[in-house]
Amino acid sequence: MSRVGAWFEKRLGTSGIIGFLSHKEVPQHEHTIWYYTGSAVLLFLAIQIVTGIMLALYYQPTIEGANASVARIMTEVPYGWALRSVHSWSATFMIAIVFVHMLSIALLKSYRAPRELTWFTGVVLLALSLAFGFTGYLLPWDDLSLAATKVGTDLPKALPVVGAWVTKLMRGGEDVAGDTLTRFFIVHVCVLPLTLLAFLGGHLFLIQRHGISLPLRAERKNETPPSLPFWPNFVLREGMVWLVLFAALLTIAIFFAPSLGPAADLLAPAPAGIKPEWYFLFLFQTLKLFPANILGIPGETIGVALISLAAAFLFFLPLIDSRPAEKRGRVMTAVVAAFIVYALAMSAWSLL
Amino acid sequence: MRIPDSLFTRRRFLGALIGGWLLALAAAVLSPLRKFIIPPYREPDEVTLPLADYASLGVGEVKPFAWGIKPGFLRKTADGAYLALVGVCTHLDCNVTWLPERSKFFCACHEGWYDENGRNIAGPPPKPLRRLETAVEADNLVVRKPGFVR
Amino acid sequence: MSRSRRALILLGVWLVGGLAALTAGVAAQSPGTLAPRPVPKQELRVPGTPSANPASQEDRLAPGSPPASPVSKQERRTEALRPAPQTIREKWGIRVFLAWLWFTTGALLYLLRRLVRESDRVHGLGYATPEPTPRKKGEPRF
Repeated sequence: MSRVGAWFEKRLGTSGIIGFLSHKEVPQHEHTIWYYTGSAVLLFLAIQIVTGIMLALYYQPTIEGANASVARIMTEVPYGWALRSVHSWSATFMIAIVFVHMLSIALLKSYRAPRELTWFTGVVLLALSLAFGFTGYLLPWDDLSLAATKVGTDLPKALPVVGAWVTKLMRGGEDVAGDTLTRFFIVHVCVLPLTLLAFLGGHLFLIQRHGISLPLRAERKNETPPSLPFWPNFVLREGMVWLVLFAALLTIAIFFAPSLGPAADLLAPAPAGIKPEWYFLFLFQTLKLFPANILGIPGETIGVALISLAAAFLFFLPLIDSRPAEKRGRVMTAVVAAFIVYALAMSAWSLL
Repeated sequence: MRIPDSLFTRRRFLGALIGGWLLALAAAVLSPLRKFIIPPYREPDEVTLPLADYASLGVGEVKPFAWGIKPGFLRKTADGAYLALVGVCTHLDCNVTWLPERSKFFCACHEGWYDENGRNIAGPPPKPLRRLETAVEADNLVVRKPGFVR
Repeated sequence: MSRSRRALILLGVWLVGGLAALTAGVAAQSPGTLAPRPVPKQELRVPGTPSANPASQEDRLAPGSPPASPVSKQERRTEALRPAPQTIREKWGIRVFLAWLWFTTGALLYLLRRLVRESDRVHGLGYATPEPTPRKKGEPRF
């Protein structure tokens, strides 16, 4: 070890971690490809943090300044339009890969014991990513953002007892206004990042603690598939994936840069054809299915209740699917597959 | 494997190639960021003011004007011309003020003094106040950077 | 083709690529972004408020969209802002940059593939295989 290395080793004692990482292995089988989704999420998260900080150098979170500052970023600041576009598209990519990551884990049943906590932290991370998307969408303060936020913050009213209070908390009052913008901003750039990093740390620690999971079949037969060293073999492969994803992101961001609508008018009617970001489409469509009233209970309340039940099912999946190798396990796989089909169908329907 | 007469191994060469290309990619991505983080604000090259606002100035009187986002001062000189100064102290960039009873510009930050022509006379300022050119064109008083030609 | 010849060609291509990147960086910079904006008269702007004058956006609107609202800070922008390259220089700068980006990606993928093959080969031969982490009986290997 070099002298500098030895200096740090004496004070930090990191050779244990480095030793562990250098011995980490990744099993190779037909489902190894899904192992790449985790690091892809990290790539896009890093891009979001960097581009987000850059944008925050010029963004002003007030009703008067928000839209104008984003317009300034897009027109006056060098490469501002490209940076904003990368931030916007990277958000889409990140949430898409988070879904793929979660669904691959669910279908491969990697959440089974002892990895239930990893799954729980993962579901929380999904919720945080969606919260990032929701809060970030308001920040440009254009007509679409305002309408989407009005609808989104109206939904908690359907909850019993606490509903109205939660809506007031999110909006900073009864209506979406300047206070909403300010608190959405601080949540987006401070509260959510800190929370995400905390849960991400836990998630990553648990993954290292338990090692990479094996497919169910291999574990049952007690097979040990061939394995690759994590460093350098697997990391080099991950690097290749990152390169392609990065180039694809830049290309799409340059050609499909988002536009900026005129500043939101609190008194204007909602723009025609309003719909939320793609990751909320299936929820949006589900709520539209419920009539205004069912047996005296507002349809929306039932809709929100059902969605909450589904979310709870998703969260507690490892505990529900306690015997994954048996028939119950196959039923659970079918349920998860049905969820996927439902979400895709609803999203498609809402676009028609 | 290192052939006795070669400068380096093929492995190191390829490694350098990858590293170099990655560096180039990083530079290509980071240099727009470097441009991004400093916003492009430039001082105006010239500012056009309505002459009517300043025609009533007596000799030796000073009136402020806006030089971009910096304060400027216009003083009517004895021969009827206008003297334009940028009202930013040359010491550490504080805005100066005109004290008519003393006929001097004063910077409160470190007690710097300038005379009515902007020359630094007391205190820490190292240089006189920046001077701008003036011209009267029809109804307008035009203040411009020295040497700027439209 | 011998390996050294291929490597030399790669080096040459890399140098050319780097020059292209430099050109792209210079070309993609639009003079429009850095040109001084006309400062409205008598506007003592408070530092901190956005200096964006609606009129200054006029050279950034997509070609074909209506001209920007008149020079008045109070006028609300009524049209959507669509970012698009404005000059020929910008258009070609973007194309050059993207072409270089994909070329670089392809080249790096090719080189990384060789590295991956090499490290797989080394692993397969049993060289430089790290000692497996000591595990208790029955604990999974991964």
